[in-house]
Amino acid sequence: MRITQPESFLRSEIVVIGSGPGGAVTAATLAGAGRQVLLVEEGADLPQDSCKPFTLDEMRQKYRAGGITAAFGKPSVAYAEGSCVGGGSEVNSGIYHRAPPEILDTWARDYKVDFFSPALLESHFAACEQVMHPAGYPASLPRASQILREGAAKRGMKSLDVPRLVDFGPDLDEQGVPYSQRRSMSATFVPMFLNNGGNLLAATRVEKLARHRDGWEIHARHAGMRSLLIRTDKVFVCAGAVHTPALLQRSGISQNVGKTLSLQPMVKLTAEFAEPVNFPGMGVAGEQVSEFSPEFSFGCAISSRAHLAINLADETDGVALAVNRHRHLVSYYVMSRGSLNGSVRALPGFNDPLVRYGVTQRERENLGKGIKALTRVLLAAGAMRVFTGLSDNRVIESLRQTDKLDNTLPAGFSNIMTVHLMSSCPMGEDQRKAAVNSWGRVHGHAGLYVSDVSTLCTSPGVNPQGTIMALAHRNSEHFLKV
Amino acid sequence: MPDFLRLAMRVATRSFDYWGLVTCGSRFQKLSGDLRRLQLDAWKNSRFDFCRNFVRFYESLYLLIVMEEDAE
Repeated sequence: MRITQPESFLRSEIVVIGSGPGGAVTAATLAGAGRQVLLVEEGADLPQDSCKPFTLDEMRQKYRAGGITAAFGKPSVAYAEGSCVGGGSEVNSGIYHRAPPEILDTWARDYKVDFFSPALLESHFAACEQVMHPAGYPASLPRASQILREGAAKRGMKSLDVPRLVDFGPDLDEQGVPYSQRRSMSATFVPMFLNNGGNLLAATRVEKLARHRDGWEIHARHAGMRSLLIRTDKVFVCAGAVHTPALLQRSGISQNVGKTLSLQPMVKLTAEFAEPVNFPGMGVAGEQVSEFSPEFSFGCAISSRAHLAINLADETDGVALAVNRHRHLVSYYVMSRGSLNGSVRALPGFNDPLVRYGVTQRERENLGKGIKALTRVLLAAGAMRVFTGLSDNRVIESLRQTDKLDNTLPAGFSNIMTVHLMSSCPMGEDQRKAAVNSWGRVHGHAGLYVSDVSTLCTSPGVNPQGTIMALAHRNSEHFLKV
Repeated sequence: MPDFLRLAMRVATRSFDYWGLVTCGSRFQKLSGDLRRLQLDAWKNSRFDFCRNFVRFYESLYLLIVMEEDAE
């Protein structure tokens, strides 16, 4: 049931805070087992088609703080988070990976995560995939993907159409590629949760958690105005890598909380082609070159006219180029694996926490190498020129020119962004490093759990949504057994 | 935008506007197109991160709004 006008006092056996991939999977699994669950979400409960994907409307409706958020550092890293029912899954491109097995093994070893290995996670990945149906393009690839694949093949690299969490419709674009719609939490696990008798309370911000006898009291505010008190036996905090640690800190819980934020820094390049390559409705293609993964990877980025103009704004006549030649332009990203070099700190008197991150030398090297490799791939695929965004060597027109590209991103480069933040409450039995135990229970706090991207011990080097969902499924099943 | 930045951003925006008064004798919003361009370029290429990020922020917002309106 959707609760739209809550009483000022509510009671539920279990409360899940946050309805993104971690929270929605947790809530649906627990409700499916017959438990009484209230799912609380700070953002609005919106239909999927309330706005067009990757537009200003979407930023206004579904992003936290309108998409204007940054991790402060030198340079600062712009980031985006979803804030609506479904969380990040409502605004991302749905690219699906499992975390690489060697990374999972590292987490088990370095953080002492019990009963944790690629083999033990297999059934949890499979259970989520059965609902999410990650799939590649059913027929022909979008032109942006073909370019990456052709260029990569010529450079001796392997490029893959990475599965995405989308539903392909019957309608085709000009190239014969089917249009797709996100297969997000609001299309999958949230309806499952509601069908299993769960209660959903949107537009409700949790201010603070407090111990109450053997359970917890949740102090919240509905629709920015009415105060709510929710009593519960167990709480799962699934508010994402920034707001999970901030809520725990506001509640006086700070052991290893918010001290090790990681993010996957990303830069964008734009290539110009003689022939039209950018078609209406192309969206974000799933093609990726990931043979350098987990250190870095590159792939297709959103290439709407507005995004092209922003990417080219520093170039001479870049905006005019985006306006007049947008059909001939397409953007790509280079993404580095992140380190644990950031933090989240709740600020007294403010709703939003201070997020900090220092881009490391290794990440600069990854991004520098990635820019060079991607530029060569795009030129090999026939690009007339590639706009790198670098202050030296801004425009590359030949393979010979790529020799001039540095293997390290220059220190002054400031146009870095990310959509993947994680690891702010790492899991494990090693209490010197971990905030929660191997199953997501906060160390030293009975009945309080974290089950979202915060618990990933380090950056997996790939899009983390698949791993978040598998971990949430694993933790929920364990919770039901004990 | 995070709530702790809002006041600072208002102050910065006002400072940017009045910077035109200091350098060109008139607030930014009342400058000619050419002088506005000069001020934007000066801030965009400033050695201070803050000035560069400030212009990048408004430029991105402007482009997103204008380009989407044009596309409709």
